[in-house]
Amino acid sequence: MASVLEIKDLHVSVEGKEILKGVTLNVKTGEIHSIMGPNGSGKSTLALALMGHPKYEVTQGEILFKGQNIVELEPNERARLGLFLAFQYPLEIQGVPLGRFLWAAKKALMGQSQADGQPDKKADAKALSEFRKQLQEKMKLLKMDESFAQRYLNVGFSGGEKKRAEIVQMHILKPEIAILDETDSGLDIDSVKIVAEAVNQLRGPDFGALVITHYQRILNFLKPDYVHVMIDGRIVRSGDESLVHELEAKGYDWLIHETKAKAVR
Amino acid sequence: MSTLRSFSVDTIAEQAASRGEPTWLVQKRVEAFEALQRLPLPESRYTKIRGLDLNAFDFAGQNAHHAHIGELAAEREAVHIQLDGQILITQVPESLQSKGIVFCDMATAIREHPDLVKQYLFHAISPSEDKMTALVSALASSGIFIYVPKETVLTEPVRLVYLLDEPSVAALAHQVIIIESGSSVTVLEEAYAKHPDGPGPHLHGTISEVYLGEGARMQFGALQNWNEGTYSFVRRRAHVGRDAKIQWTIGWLGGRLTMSSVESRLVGPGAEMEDIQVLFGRHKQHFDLTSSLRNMAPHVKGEIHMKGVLKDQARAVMYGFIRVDPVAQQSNSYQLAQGLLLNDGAHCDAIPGLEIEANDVRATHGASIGPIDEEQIFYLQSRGLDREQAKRTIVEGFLTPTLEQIPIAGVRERFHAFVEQKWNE
Repeated sequence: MASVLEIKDLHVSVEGKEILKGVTLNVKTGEIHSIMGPNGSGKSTLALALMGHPKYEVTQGEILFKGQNIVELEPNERARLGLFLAFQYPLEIQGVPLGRFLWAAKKALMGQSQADGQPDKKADAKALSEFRKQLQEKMKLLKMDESFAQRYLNVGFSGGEKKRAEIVQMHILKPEIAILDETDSGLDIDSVKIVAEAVNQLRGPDFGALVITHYQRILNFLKPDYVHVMIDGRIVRSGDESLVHELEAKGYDWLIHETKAKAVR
Repeated sequence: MSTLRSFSVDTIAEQAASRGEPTWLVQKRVEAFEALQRLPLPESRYTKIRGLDLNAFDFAGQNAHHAHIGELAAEREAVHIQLDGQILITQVPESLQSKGIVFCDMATAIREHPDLVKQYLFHAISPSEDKMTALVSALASSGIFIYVPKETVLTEPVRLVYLLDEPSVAALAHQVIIIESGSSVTVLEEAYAKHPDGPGPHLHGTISEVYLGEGARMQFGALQNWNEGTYSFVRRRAHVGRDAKIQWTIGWLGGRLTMSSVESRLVGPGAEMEDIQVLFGRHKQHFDLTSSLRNMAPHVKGEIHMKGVLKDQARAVMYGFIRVDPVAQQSNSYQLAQGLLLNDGAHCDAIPGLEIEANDVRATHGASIGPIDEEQIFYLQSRGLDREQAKRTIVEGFLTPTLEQIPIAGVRERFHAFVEQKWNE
């Protein structure tokens, strides 16, 4: 059965200011959704609210994932349910090597913490060597040098390297639903292609994605099943891939005018 | 019990003489004792000394040799162990003695090497510099004296172990370390509470005089993990000769109040120093740490790195002073202080000081102090780590680049283990 992320009439405020004004959207495994929209329309707010950023307060509505309301859950609990966010601005963490961190994250997601009594050392060592192999493969897939595994998390990475490292992490952590927050911005066209191919590789009945973007170019490679346009904290139009081309041709202004006209009425 | 009140100038002089100390040293003791009476506690704007009554401590142990033989000493190492100020053991392998290395307690050094003692004892540190230095200078007779002759390389570290156990005990130590030209030594000092949760208060004081001859090398590693009822005062000063290098690496974990000053005087051209200090404070601990670099010759080089993690209501002030004398042209100095605060009650100040009297030098400093970054916590949590794990990961990452620079693996690993332990308690 498909897992569903159900966003119902979601209102979100940041420091008392309402940014999302009633978003309703269902994302199922097996589907790729794209959200497009002008700057400041609330796309990133949606991404961060879905993952549980403490500054983003849900004032109304619900977020259900696999039937469970996750609004009160910590970000790590959401991750454990199978949610992932590829950050628009991945954080730099000094002194924490990417590889070692991902191993810790993977163990945390699998529910193995060091506190869990006697760990099976042999099984652990085997899992670790498998993990290392897998990490090497994934870095190759994203065309990143192996040495990045030893480097401190995002420290000194270029903008493009940070974004590709996010996708490496996504591949390793294997979420059911991934939110990609402008993963394509700041990437050259070759990198966009590499990232899109890596996302496409996960595509299947057990993986769904919500791809937030400004630009159509990544969507040309991803071919989303659904496209939504967000303006002023609401989804104002939904459609299939053809909507991307309509937006490309006409821009957002006509939709903005339409939204304003509706608001006046 | 013999409290500070039971001493006078006369008893200080009498006792020193009865230990066979030469007249010049007796005079230093008297000078120190007079300074002790006169000087105020070393408080500052950032450090108030609360609850310390010097008269509440027992200073009786300063002369005695403890009855038990240390079980902490490995057979073939040079090691000196003191418990509550009393010497448990001072042991040096025959192989080192035959090289002319002197490793003995101060009383023995005074007896057997009077000329060396006279040349170096109280040469780098004056007995009346401040109240706590005066206290140690007046009363500490059970110190350690290390002399390494020319062109001698010690491959194994020399260990100095200080243990505190009985409540209300005062333990004072004077260290003199002389590394002659071309020689190389690693000194590892461990300062522990015998019972980490044992009752205080304890009073601990160390003064340490270090002399490096031409081209000499010394790595000095120290770990301090007193219990949280201990008042600890430490003053170290090194004279670093031509092309010599000193590397200090100090990990601070324990104590109620710790005041430390490490000063490196680069007296010879081409001399170098590196001082890495890391601290982890919790509960109501207070740390007042100073690292001073004084460039006194051309082409010298020095680096100071101080890093602190503070939890609960712990406080720290980290001073980094660089002074460049007019002769110290083409010198290069750098200092960095960083503090990470884990919660609202924790506090840290970084006070840099630069005094430059030469015109062709490089001297830079940086400081950053702030709370743990919520955005970083969110990022790590979004990958599956719980909040506590995320914080720990960030703290470990904060310390890692500095710990990796510590040249002595034992210090690095044990500091790590202590942090782990303190975090879990």
